[in-house]
Amino acid sequence: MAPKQNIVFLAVIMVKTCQQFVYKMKDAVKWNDIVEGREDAYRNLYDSYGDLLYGYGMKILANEDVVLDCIQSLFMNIFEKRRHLAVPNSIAAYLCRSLKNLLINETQSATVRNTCEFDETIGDNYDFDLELDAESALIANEKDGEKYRLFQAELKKLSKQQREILYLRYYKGLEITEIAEILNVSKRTVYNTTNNALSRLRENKALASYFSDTALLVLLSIGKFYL
Amino acid sequence: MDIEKIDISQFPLKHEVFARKKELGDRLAKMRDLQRKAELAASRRRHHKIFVWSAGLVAAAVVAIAIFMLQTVTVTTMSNEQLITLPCNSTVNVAANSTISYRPYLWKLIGRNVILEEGTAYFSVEKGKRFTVETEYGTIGVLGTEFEVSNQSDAMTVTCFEGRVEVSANEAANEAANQPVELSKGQQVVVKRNEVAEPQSIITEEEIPVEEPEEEKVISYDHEPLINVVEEIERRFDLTVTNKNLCNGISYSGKFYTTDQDMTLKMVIMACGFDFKVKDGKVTLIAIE
Repeated sequence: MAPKQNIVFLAVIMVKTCQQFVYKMKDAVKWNDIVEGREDAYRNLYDSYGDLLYGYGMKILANEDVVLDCIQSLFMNIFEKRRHLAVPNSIAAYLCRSLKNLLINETQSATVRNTCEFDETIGDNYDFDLELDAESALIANEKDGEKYRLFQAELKKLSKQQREILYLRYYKGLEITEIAEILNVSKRTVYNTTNNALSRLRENKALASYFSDTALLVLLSIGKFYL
Repeated sequence: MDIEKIDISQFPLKHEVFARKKELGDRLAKMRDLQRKAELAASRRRHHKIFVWSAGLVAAAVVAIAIFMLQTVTVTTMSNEQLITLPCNSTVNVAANSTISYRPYLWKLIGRNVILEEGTAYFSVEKGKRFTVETEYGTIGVLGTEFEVSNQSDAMTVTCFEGRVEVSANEAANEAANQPVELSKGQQVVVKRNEVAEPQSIITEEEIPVEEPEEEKVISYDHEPLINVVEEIERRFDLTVTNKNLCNGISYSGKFYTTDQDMTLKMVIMACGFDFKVKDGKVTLIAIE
């Protein structure tokens, strides 16, 4: 790599590290307010993470009522047990993982729904479907429509874990560490899975033409430095 | 190829728009509110419980202390008299067949108060706060003195031996009768139950003769040189004893009566193996051959 590029990467890493640190501090402050039971803290928490949880939850279980119920019980659990909760490394990861557990519990048995804790024995019998919304996208011409169909088909071919990681990484913008925490796998696994998924997408020549390689490269290299 | 930049997140996904976000947010806020109120009520109940318990404990402790403090000590004598020391070091000599009672733990708090329920008691009071003796018939108040109280079947007699004593009748019918009577040294008073018609007759005062103290009547000796005893006899009965050199080397153990001259002379001198003659206040010792 050229020295110029190195400097750019270094700067990017520094900025990212600082950002992460700031986020962590913010998270800690937020969580302190949560433990104290301050109303505005809960409103903020819900406003910040409601969309993330809804989107993620709907991918695990495509039933809006159940997802809403689970989000509700998640927030209520936090409120009830606030005095006994440890400060999470990342609030987003903590919430996502908790919601996932709740949803899986919900699908396994409708009666057991009191887990906010992490249960390592939870089964993987959910299907992380990424369904593209062609209607809401502005499809100007036939070529765009084709592009959507291609991408949808490629996504179907990916593994469930690859879809989940891609979703969390690129749609929800979570960090590698956060994704690793949600999926309960190592950062290396997350990185490899992301890499494999992107390579597979790029293998499709027809689809690859729609992606800008540089954009993917930057994403990948940042991911690499974080490992 | 195509130059347009496509990030995969630019393909919109289904189920990403959280249409019922506000609805759920409001529901959550409401539930939180209810729960917080419940928690508050619970903590208030807890505090209430703690308060009630602690109040109960304090009340129980106060009752226990009160019961302890109100304890009464009662002394009843049968056939012989008994000497009692009160908390302030005053002493009471309770005569036979008498009963007194007092509260030792309230002695300093409320005041020195002894109840003479029946019989007679001789009090020797240390100086200090007002000391009172209550009987069926009246109350005797003092500061520090010696006196005797005696309950009879229809009246009580108070005799003051030292200092001043204040006597007041219990069931005084009017102001005049309720006025306490002061006794000074050597005075005695009889208090009867009040009769409304004659308030003056309740309390009568009379001077009692100042007697020799009783323990002075009999003097006991134990291995005392006879010469000392003889000198004491000279002093007591205003006699002059001659031929006193006979007494040397003899000691006397026994009594003599200060009231009876002849008896004492006989007891002391004849016990030592001498004879004596008395003439015009002069006693001559005679050795028996």
